Amino acid sequence: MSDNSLLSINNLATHYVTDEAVIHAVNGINLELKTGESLGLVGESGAGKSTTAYSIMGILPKLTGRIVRGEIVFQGKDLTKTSEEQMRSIRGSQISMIFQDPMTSLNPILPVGDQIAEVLEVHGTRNRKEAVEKAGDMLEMVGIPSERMHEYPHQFSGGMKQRVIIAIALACNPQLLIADEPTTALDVTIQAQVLKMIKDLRTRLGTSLILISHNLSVVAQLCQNVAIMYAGHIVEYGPLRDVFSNPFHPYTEGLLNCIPRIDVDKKRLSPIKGMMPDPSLIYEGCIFKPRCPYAEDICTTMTPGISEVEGRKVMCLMYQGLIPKKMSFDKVGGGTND
Amino acid sequence: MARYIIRRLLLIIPVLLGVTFIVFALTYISPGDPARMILPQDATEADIVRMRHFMGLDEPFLLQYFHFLFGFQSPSSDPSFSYKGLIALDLGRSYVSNRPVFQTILERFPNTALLSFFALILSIILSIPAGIISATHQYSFADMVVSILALLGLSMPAFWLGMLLIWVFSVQLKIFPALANPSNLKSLVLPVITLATMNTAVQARMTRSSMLEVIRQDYIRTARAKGLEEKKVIRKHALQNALIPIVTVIGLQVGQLLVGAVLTETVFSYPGIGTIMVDAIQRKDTPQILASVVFVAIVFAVVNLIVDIIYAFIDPRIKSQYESVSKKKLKASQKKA
Amino acid sequence: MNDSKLGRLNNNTTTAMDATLKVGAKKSKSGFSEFWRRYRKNKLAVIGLVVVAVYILVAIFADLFFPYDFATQNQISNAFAKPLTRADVDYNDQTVSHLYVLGADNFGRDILGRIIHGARVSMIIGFSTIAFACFVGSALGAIAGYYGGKIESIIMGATDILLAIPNILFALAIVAALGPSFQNLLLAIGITSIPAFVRLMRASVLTVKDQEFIEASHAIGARDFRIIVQHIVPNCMAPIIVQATLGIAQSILSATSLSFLGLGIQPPAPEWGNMLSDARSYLSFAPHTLFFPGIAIMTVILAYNLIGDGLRDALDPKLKR
Repeated sequence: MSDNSLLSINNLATHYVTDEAVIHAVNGINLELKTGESLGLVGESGAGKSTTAYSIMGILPKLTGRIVRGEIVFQGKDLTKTSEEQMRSIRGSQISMIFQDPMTSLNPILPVGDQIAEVLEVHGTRNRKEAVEKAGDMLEMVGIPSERMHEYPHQFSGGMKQRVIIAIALACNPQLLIADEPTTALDVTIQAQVLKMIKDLRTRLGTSLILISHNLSVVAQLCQNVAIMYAGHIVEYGPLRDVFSNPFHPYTEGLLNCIPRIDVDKKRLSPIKGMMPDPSLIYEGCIFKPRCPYAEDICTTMTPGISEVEGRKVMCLMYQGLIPKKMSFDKVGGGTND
Repeated sequence: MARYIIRRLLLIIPVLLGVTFIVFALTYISPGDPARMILPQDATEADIVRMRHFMGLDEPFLLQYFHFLFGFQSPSSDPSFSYKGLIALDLGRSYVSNRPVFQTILERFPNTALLSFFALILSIILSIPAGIISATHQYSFADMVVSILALLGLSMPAFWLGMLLIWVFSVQLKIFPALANPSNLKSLVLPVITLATMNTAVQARMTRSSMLEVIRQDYIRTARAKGLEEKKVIRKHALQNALIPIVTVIGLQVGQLLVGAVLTETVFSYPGIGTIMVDAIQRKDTPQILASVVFVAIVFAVVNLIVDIIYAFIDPRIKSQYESVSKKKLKASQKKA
Repeated sequence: MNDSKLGRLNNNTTTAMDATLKVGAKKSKSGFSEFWRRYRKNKLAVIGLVVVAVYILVAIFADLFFPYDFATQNQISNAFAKPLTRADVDYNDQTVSHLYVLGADNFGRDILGRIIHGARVSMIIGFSTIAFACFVGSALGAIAGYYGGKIESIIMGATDILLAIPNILFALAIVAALGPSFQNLLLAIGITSIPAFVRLMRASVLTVKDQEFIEASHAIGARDFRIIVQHIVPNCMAPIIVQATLGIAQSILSATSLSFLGLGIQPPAPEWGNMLSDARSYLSFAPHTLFFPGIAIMTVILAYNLIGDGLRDALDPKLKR
């Protein structure tokens, strides 16, 4: 473990246990985040991205959510074995999370300033006056005039609400910010504003970021590394530029093929056929096999391990030398992204 | 804020008119001739016609309604047939006691109010904590107990419960008296419990479902993600939001308390409006019935109005909607600065 | 790899969908059987259903259990007989030995018999008042919601006024005005039950009205009435059914309350509220006259409430455990 490793997830598996079935949401994933880095967690709905985030934060639903194995090491401490009391002191002050729907994420009967001040008061600001003042500063930092701190959430637009939520999340200057689909519920133009703000604040405060999204372009704007999640597994994991320009895993290729491109002449978009497997079942072999255009018979029975290839981790038998490499992705020729 | 109150006040007027109209219409179509009832058995047809004229009963329906509201000056020399109308809380005299009907009502109403007040306090003290515990410990033993007790309380006829309590505590255990009256606080225990039961049950269930609804909301997740203690999450974020519909229900229940008093008072022979009403009905004392029913209906409407206003104070979304225009202009100019 | 409770599946299938179907999916077959499956899970609701079924059967076949005239005839010599005692009764010019299962009331009438016939009375009241209120209220609500405008204002205004008067008070006023009788009782309770249905139906209609399949119906020229009855109403049934069930409970409670006050069914007709009113004077030495009719009332109302709750949970698509 290197010195500036902030978060290290090893072989994490999280299940939801209900009367009818066990949902295997996360099935043994490994992630690493260094201080100051930004990681994108990408995948379709139901891939296990949010569950991973809830596992880190320790806010899985009490009745049904279980971390069944693995460890989440944050600044040297294993969060899976940390007491609830200690987790509470970490939440909001060292690790913060923002969620998808800004319209319903704020308490409708408290003024926004109070909601920001609250997280400060919970984590050490003794003085009420000080907390209120700092809350005003945070509002200014996210581009909202601090006089508006006495107003209620319904008096703000969706984009502004999300900015308030960001203000709450960053008020205690956490080392890590987890953003779960922060812009999905917003208009495209507002989306750009919010993303830019997160980027600026990251630079200013040095916060590390895990950005969860099913939208590849959002992730591409903000993240240095990317992990592609499928059915509770991380199938490809590496530097974002490399992965997006030259994908190694067939699923990643499939995702990228879904995006219309200027530089390639294509008559039709090619969606990935099939659907994600039922998470209440266990499967033999490669989890992606039913939808994979390059699958061979051996993929049905042999579960791929994680191979290290050119600075990336990939979960595919192609890189274990067991099946031929037949990827046909039109590699991106050094495009300029901002 | 004032605008909201004024708006609500204006809305209540047509409702009150409608209510008084309906109640009056009911008495109008009621069979039985008041004139006949007052006069002795051997009265002639001419006597009856004259009496009807003195009582204003031969006038057209709408005119009679107008008199009902604003007063009636009887052509008779006997002043007891004249009254100043509902506006002045004067609807004539009881056929039975010959006292002004509203005098009896206003004497007895404080007793009913007292009983209802105690029952309200008791029901709030019991139902809200029960509902909260039930919601925050869903599926636990406590939740089951509360839910079952609430169901039983809902299903038990209040008057039966009253009599059961009398049997246990008055007849068998001889702790509390069976007859209640306002000067003897101890005698109020059983009627208050009886009256409060149904309310407690309804409010506990409402509290539970409101809390469950609120706890599922996204902003509760945000509060937890801030690192707040669960107790504080419940108290500060969940409860205050859940209270809004709960207050509405409690407000509605106050009206039910007044009405439930009718039954409970009968069981305990308590001198309140309920017993007046039932007595009057059994004796066909029309003015008394009319006045009592209208009075309770009006109090009910006023209570609901007060609840609406309290509701606006609690829910800032409504409050800000009705902020004065001048305040808004000030804020807008501040934004530009 | 971990084992799950559902066992392992060989991945030799072409799509993940096939895999799901093979393991015996928990998908529903028909709408009703899915609803019934959900309803069945709530044990209390099922008990409620059984109780109500028994109660309805008893009400329908009351005469088989007890002859009506026997339940209303005085046998003064057996007044206040304790439960499970035998006594001689004069019936049809014969002297028969009769077991008073639940005891006798102040006129020597068999309480169990009166409870059984009271069940018939309350069943009639419950069903007829709610059927009336449901039909009239839903119709008014559907019209108000569908046509909007002035019609809606008038209907909702009248409903608000009705709602402004507490139920029992209004029923009391109606009965006081028109005299205590069975018909007036039905009328009073029926009218006071209407507003709930009006509001429910209107709210449901408003949510469904703007959906696309209604526009489609319009587009092919279907007449308003047809649209309302065929498309809108079936989608609003769920809350109406729940309200009807709870309404029956409320209706029975109102009826017994009014009868208790002497404003409903008149003696000697057997009605549970009546019986309790009589029992009042004899509390101290004949408590059995108090217990049993009250237990009957409570059981029936509780059963309907359980069913109403169960229906509400089973029909609510959002509810998950």
